[in-house]
Amino acid sequence: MIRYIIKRLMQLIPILFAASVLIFFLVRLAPSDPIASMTEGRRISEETREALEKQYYLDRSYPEQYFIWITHALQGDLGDSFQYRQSVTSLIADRLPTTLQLVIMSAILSIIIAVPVGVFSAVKMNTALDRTLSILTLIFVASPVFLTGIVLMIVFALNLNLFPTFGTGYDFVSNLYYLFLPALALSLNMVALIARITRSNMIEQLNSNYATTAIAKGIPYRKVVMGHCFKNALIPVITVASIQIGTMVVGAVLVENVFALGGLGDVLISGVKASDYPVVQGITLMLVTLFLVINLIVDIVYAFIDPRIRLGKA
Amino acid sequence: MKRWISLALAGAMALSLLSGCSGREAGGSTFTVALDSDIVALDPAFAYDFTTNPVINQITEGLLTFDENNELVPWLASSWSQTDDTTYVYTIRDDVCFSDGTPMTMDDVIFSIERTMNPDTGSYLEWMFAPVESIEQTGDWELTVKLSQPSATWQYVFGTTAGHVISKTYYEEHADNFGTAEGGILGTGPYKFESWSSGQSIVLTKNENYWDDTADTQIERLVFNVIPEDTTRVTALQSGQVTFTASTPPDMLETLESDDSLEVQSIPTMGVTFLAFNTQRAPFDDVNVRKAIYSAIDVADIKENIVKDTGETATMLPSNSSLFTSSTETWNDYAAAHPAYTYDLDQAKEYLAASAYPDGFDCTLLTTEASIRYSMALAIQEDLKALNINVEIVRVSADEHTAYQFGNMLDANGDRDYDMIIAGWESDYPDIAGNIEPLYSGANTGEGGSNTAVYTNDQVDELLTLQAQSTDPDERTSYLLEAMDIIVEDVPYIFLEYPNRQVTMQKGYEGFTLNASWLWNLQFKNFRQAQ
Repeated sequence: MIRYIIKRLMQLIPILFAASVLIFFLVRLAPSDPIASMTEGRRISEETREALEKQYYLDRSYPEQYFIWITHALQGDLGDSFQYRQSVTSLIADRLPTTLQLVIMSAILSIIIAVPVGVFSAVKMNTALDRTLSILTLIFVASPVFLTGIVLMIVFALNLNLFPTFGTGYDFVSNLYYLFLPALALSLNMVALIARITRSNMIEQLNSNYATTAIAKGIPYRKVVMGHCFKNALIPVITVASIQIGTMVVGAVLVENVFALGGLGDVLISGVKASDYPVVQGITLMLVTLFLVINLIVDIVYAFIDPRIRLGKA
Repeated sequence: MKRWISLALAGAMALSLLSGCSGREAGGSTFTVALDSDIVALDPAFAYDFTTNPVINQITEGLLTFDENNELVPWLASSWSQTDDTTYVYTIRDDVCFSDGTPMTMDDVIFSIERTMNPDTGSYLEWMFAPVESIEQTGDWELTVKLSQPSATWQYVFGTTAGHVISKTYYEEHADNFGTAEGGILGTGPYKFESWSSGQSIVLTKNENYWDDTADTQIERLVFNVIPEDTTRVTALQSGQVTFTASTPPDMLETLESDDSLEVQSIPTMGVTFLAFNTQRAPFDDVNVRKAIYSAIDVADIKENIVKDTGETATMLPSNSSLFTSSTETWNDYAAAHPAYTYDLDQAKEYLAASAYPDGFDCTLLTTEASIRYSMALAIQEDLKALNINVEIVRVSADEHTAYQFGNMLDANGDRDYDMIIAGWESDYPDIAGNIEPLYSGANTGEGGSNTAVYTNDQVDELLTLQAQSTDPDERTSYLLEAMDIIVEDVPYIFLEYPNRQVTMQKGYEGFTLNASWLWNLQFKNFRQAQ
């Protein structure tokens, strides 16, 4: 098991290296001048331009800049932001908790909502209720998160005045309250997907021979559904949910922007707009790492559950 | 199932511990301002935009400032005078203290100015000190600035953030992280820094040691919230979560104006929105082509149907009256005598016939995603069809647009890579030279240059140099008018509007006047709720 984990960790190194090279050169493809966007086009003296270029290593060649960036990054220093005079590391440290909290809150929310909905639809398969739920989930899948976010905000924050329109609150309890609408907006896409998958898996399990046998044996239907079929139906759901968490990080970018949460996504978007290379590089690299680590954890969990995977026989 | 739910809730609660937000429940009188982006730094040397300045202006103050008539008045300096063409003497107040109670000394003043002036600092305001030869202390509370040559605009520099004073001791104690959320800043302003949560909010609290006894500061806490999304900013104002914003989205004006609890004020700016021709590139190097285009564009229609109340009607001058701070009458007369170029299609066809391109041509028009400017581009595209000029509109990001506008994007010949561009400029101080010089001087055509039309005329350059080196207001005006006479005939730019800035706030506040220069130097210290 440990050998398997080490092997997988070693495989991350070349992937991360390739990703870092790609990220570094791709951000520099955008046609713009970082110094001009820093000073909003105001004329600065040649000396100041040189001083700023030196501060940010823009006077070096690209390979040199890459080398400086990657060696510093390995020591935990991702450079200084062009648009905000702060280190990217401190920007991330300030903002990552909000993004993580948002993603995890909405993952939990979507599982809480989606799994019962899926089970319920499966049990009531092809009834009017099942169809209504299907249509609802279809609408959720089709709505982009920023639209869902704005609609939720206008209904619940402005018209009903139940929730704040923006921000993350000021203490532990208010924090949960402030993030509820954003988390809900982010979860709806995933709710739809997980509900569909739960439903189809449940139907498959309910139609399987062991379920028929159990029912024939006289085990109460409720116990067959919850005790046997549900457990088996859950495995693929966990797979999809964990992959979806990666996608959620992308959605979080938009939701943070709508609700002014000041998370990572927000600074990433403004970084892209302002050619803030260190910010875009640093955050993208971190997201790639996060994504890879989540995948790795999922794989390890599989390997743990199913020995065939770690032995490479599956 | 119940176990699932309780587990999930417990998880959610544990997670919220992770959250990085800070701050307390709002108490006392709090005034909430919405910004459309985060501030650059807590540092006047990097305060050069409309989100950083409104925050910094509460914390640090300048030697001079501008009053509600856009006129220069003393501030941390009690008086100043110009003793000869190149010498300015400032008397610094001896009764000023920083918000921690320590007195402000001449050391602090000189240190702050020299720090901004030093190119190694990388300050965005360093260029303002270009004419300076020396800055010296010449008495207990006297500061003397010597210039290498006379400068018409030097007088304004200490009225901007370039003249702001920080505490030297505090800076030296926080040299590594000064101006960041951890390092903070210490100034003399009516508010002091409390906290800055990146991307979320900046909190300032009332400075109990404020030196200006005439101030009657009632607002205890100023909270600046960063809300980038337009819809959210508007919703936050409507729901009452935000008190004030200077970033009102122009296309949502009607929603806000119809809200009973809100008040929208339209304030003139020192800016101008223009269509610039790349006069270095064919066919726009032909003055008859430029004249044909101005006669074919219905600027009045653009004002009426697109700009509406978000801007003022433009003339042939690159500025509205807020920059007519000297020789006001003369400038008003000139503006009245030179209204916008008139729409006259027959005239346009005559001009085009006289040009080298009588049958029309294809060209591009560069603009951003911003809705008003894009609508302007569409109107221009439509108008020019009548001359058989086919305009392709190219929309780029704001950042890319900046790179084009300031000559950082060149074509294979090393020339600026656009045909026509819709862009804007806003003076750094209330003086019309602050718009004329950047737009027309041949010195500003290079990389990073603000002469977007790449307009060069030796006679104009000479006149602009003469005015820049003169400190006699009437003499300057006559040079500038002479230059404008030539420019008006050459049409390097067509002015489309003088944009206004819309300020939205909850009703019931008083104690302030908003004018063209206020966003550069507004303090919230006298804002109070009406009784």
